[in-house]
Amino acid sequence: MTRVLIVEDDVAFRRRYAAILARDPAFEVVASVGTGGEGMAMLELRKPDVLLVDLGLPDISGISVIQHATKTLPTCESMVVTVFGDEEHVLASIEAGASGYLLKDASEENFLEGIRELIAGGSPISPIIARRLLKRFHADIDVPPSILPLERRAGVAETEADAAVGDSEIALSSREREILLLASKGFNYPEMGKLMGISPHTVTSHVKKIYRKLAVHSRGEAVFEANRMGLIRTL
Amino acid sequence: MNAIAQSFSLLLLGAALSGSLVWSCLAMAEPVPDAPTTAAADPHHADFRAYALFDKADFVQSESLLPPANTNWQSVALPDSWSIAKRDRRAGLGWYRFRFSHTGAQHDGKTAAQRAIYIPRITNNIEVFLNGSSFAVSGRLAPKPDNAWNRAQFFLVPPSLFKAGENELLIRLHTDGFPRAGISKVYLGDSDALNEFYQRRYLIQTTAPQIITGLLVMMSIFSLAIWARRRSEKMFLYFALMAVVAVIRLIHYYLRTTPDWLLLTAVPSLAWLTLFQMQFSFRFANFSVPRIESGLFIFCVISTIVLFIMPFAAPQFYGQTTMVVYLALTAASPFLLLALAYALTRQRSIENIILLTALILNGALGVHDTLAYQERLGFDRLYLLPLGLPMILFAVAALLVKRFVSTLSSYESLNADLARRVSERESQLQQSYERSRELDQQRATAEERQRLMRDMHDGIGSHLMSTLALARMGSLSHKDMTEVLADCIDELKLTIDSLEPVERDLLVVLGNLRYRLEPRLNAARISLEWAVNDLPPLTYLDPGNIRSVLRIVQEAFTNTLKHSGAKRITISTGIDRASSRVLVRITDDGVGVSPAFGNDMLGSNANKKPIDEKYAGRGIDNMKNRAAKLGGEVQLMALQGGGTCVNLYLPIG
Repeated sequence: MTRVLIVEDDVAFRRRYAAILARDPAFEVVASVGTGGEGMAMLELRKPDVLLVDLGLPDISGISVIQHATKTLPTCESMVVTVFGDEEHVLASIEAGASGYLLKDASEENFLEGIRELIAGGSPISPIIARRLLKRFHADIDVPPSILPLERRAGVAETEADAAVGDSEIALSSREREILLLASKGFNYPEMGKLMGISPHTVTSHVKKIYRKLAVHSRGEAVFEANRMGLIRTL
Repeated sequence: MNAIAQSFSLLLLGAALSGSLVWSCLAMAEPVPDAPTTAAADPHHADFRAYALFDKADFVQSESLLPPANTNWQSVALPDSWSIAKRDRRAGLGWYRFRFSHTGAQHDGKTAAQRAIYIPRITNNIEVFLNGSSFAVSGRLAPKPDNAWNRAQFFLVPPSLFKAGENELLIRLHTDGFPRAGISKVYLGDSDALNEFYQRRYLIQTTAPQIITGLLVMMSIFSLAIWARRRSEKMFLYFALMAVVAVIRLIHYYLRTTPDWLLLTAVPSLAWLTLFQMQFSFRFANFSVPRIESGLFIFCVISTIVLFIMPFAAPQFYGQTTMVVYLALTAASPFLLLALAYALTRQRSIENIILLTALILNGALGVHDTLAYQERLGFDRLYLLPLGLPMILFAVAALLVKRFVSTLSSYESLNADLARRVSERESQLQQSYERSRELDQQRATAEERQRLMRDMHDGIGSHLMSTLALARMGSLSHKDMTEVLADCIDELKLTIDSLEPVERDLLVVLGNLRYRLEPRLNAARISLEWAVNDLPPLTYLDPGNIRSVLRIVQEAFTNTLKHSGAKRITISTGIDRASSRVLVRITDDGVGVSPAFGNDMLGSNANKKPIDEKYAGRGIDNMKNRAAKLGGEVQLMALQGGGTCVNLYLPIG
C-alpha cells in the first residue's frame, strides 16, 4: 500500500486526485490539505510514501514543502503537479528534491501511470527539460552529431560508464549523459533502452539518479564549482 | 607708423644695451692708472702694485736685428700706428726705446717684487731687450711669423737685468706685412698687477672667442640635424650656415698660426655672416624680403671673389678693398637692422625681442670694430664682434625652449582633450546603445505580442469562440467540449514550449511535441514510431518559427488522430539529398487522402463534425502557408495501400 499526501489549494483538483487514487487499491490517500503549512504538518504526522504537491500554494511555495520533505522524510517521493510542466517550475522542483512531475490535465490513466513510474524509478523527462539538464550539468550539448549509429555509440558509452570520473554523486556519468541526449531528441524510455542495449527499468533508474544529482548539484555554488572541474573531465 | 616707432624704440633700447656692454668690456680690459704714468717714474719707488705707463718712446726704423747704436732716434707718442705715421710697413722692422731711472740697488731677488712688461697690442711681433739683453719674443718671428696682432703681451722681466740709475728698454717690432702695424702703450711694473690686466684682456680677446667657437660648432650641428629632419624650416639651415661662417670669422681672432688660404676668409666671412644672420633672422620672424636677401647675396659673392683674387693680382690694394667691404657692410647694417626690426616686431614674443636686441648689439659691435679697425678708436682698441654672437644663440635657444615646452604642453592638452572627447563619445555611444537596445526590446516585445496575438487568433481564440458559439446553440456534446478544452490546453502548452530557447535544435522541438502528444496518442491506441536522425542546427528557429513548425506537425497529427482512423504514426527526420533540405515526414496507416486532402475532408466529414470541418480545412491551408513563410514546403501524399504522408521540407541554415 502506497500512502499518498495531497497538498493542493484547489478543491476541485484535490477531489479529482483523491478520486483517481481511490480507483487503484495500491494507493491510500493519508491526507489531503490546501496549504503548505498543513502539508508540512501532515508530512511529520502521517509520514507518507508519496507527496503530491502543487507549486502555487496560498501560504508558502510548494518548493518549500518539497525541500522540507526531502530533509525530514527522505523515504518520501515528492511529485509536483503543474499546469504546463514548464521548465522553470519543473527544474526548481527537481532541485528541491522532487523525483518527478505530473500534469494537471493528465488523464486518469496517465496520472496513475505517472505515480507508478515515479515509485518504480523516475518520471519521464521531456526533451526540453533533458536539454536544460544537460546545460545545467555543463555537458556540451552542441557536440556535432556522431556519424556512428546510435547502437554503436551506446556500446562506446558502456565502456565509458565505469570510467566516469569526478564525484559520481554529482557528476553525470557518460551513461546518464547519453540518456539525457537521447531524451532531448524525443526518444522515450523503451526506445532509449533498445538503443543503449539496456532495459527500460535501468533507464528509469538512471533518470532517477540524474534527478538526485541535480538536487545535490544545486545545493551550493561551492559544490557547483567543485563539480564543474570533475564534469569537464567526465566529458 | 606705430610699428616703425616701436621698432625704432626697440632699436634704441638695443643700442643702449649694446653700448653698455661695449663700455663694460672696454672698462674691464683697460688698465686704470693708479700710479705715476710717466716714463721717468721709477717703478721701484711706488707701492707693491705700482707700474709705469709709457706713452712716449724713441723710435727708429731699422732693419738691424740687434739694438742699433748711435742712430737717429725720434720721439713718438704711443700708441704708435705705422699707417697713421705713414711709414712703409713693408720695411718690416722698427725699434722702440724706453728709458727709465732705477734708484734702488741691484735687484736682489728677495725684497723686491717681480717686474713685468705688459703691452695690450702689437702688430705683429716683438723682441724685448733690457739694458742690451734680449729676454722675450712675442712668438715665432719671420720668415714664418705667428699671429700676434690680437694678442696682448705679458713678459716677466729677469730681475738681474735691472741696474741702478738709467735703464734702457728696447722693443724690436716686426710688421710681418700687416696693413696695420704698430704698438700700443707699454706698461712696466709689478707683475701681479699687470698680469691681472693681461688676463682680463686675454679673456676678451682669446678665451671668449674660443668658448663661443665651441658653442657655435655645437649649435651648428644641432641646427643642421633639425633641418635635416625638417627641411621646410630653412631657419635652421641659415642658422647653421651663419654659425659656420661665424666660426671661420672667429678663429682669426685667436689663431696663433693661420694658413694663407684661411687668411683670405677673414674679410669675406664677415659679409657672409651678415647675409646668413639676416636670412636666419627673417626666417625666425617668418618674414622675407627676397630683394634684400638676393642683393646681399650678390654682394657677398662678388666681394668674396674680389678679396680672393686681390692678394695675388694687386696686393697693394688689398687693405683698401677690405676697408671698402667693411664700410659697405657698416653702411648697410642700419637699413638691414631696420628691416629686421620691422620683421621681428610684427609678432612680439620674448625670443623675437631677444633676437632683435642681439642683432642690434651685433650691428653696434660691427660698427665699433670697423671704427677700431680704422684706428679711430685708438690702436689698442679691443675687437668686440665675437662677443655679440652668443646673444643670437641665446635667442635661438629661447625659441627652441619655447617650442619644446609649447609642444609638450599642447601634446598634454591634446591628450587630455582626446581623453575627454573619447569619454564623451563613449557616453554618447552608451546612450545611443541603450536607446537602441530599448527600442530593440520594445520592437521585440511588440513582435512577440503580435505573434502571440496571431497565434491566439488563429488557434486557441477561434477555437474557443467557435466552441462557445456551438455551446450557446446547445449543439455541443460533453465529449466535444472536453476535447475542445483539451485542444486549447495543448495549444497553450505548445505556445509555452515554443518560447524555450532550444538553440536551433529542431529535434528538441519535435521531441517535445511528441512528449506532449503521446498521452493523447496512447489514449487513442495509436502507436508512434520515432525514427529521427540528427539534424543540422537551424539558425532561423526563433520562438515564432518554432511555433510555426510545431503547428504544422501538430496539424498533421491532429488530422491523423481525428480523421484517418490510423493505428500507427511514424515520424522521421533527415536531410533530403535531392533538394538539400531538412525533411520531417509524418506518415500514418489510415484511410489516406487525395492530393486535395483538406477539401476531401470537408466533404466527408462536413455533416458529422462541424468544428473539425472548419478546423481541418483551414488547418491544411495554414500548414502550407506556414511552411512557405519558413521558406519551406508541405507536401501531402496518399500512400499506396492506404495511409497519408506529410512531408515538411525546411531550408538548412
